[in-house]
Amino acid sequence: MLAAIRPDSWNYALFLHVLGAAVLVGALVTAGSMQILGWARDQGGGAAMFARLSFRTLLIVAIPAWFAMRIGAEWIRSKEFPSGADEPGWIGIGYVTAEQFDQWVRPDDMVGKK
Amino acid sequence: MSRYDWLLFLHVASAFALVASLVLYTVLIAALWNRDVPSEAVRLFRVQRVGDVLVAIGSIGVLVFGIWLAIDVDGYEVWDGWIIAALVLWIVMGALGSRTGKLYNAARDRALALSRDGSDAPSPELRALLQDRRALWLHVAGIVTVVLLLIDMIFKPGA
Repeated sequence: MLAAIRPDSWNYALFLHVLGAAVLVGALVTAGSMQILGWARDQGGGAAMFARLSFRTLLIVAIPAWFAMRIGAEWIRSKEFPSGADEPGWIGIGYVTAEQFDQWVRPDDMVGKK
Repeated sequence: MSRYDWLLFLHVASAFALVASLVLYTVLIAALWNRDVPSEAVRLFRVQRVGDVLVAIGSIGVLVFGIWLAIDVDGYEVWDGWIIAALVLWIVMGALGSRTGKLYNAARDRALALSRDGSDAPSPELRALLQDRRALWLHVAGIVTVVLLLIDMIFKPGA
């Protein structure tokens, strides 16, 4: 396998994206671990303490990390696919616009008989 | 997926585990900073086990899969400057992590000992151990080292 080469100008965007994603994973693991410990070992207010820490971890670490990851992703996307042409399908997985959401998600169709 | 894809996936996943462990330790240090009640500290230190597993998997994984990638991929060699820099940073990270771990493990062991003695009164000694500036700066140095590793991996100076 030959080493994959990318333009140097993508590196800042990739760095921001990877750092944001890694910190996001860390924040989610930390918050999840604290929540599980809180549920498993409720001794003298332990659950409340772990729940509070879990929430603060999500608020202070996970949300900024998510923004860093998304900004990095959009930055590198704008460099790799400047006009949106020839964009591979996997990049769009998981993202919908508000218009697409309203068009596709119809709560009335989810309940009752058709 | 090709062998290259698997190696790269495992290398990056290990790097994520390593950064995740640092995030967990940072949150733990912040949560313990103003604590002086032994039972609270002991309870919080239970989260440390998750970080210990992540740091072990992450640090060994990045090294093993990173060297494997360097050998497997044409165009990279283990003796390339940026790979040697990464190996040096990995050693520095390990040394800093080991020193940091010893200091915080001493605080955890003291909290456990106080808790086992039945003394759950606020302990100035425990607070001093949890607010050890040397341990904090060693942890910060470890974070800086891992960020430098990430910069080295992405920018590949000299490649």
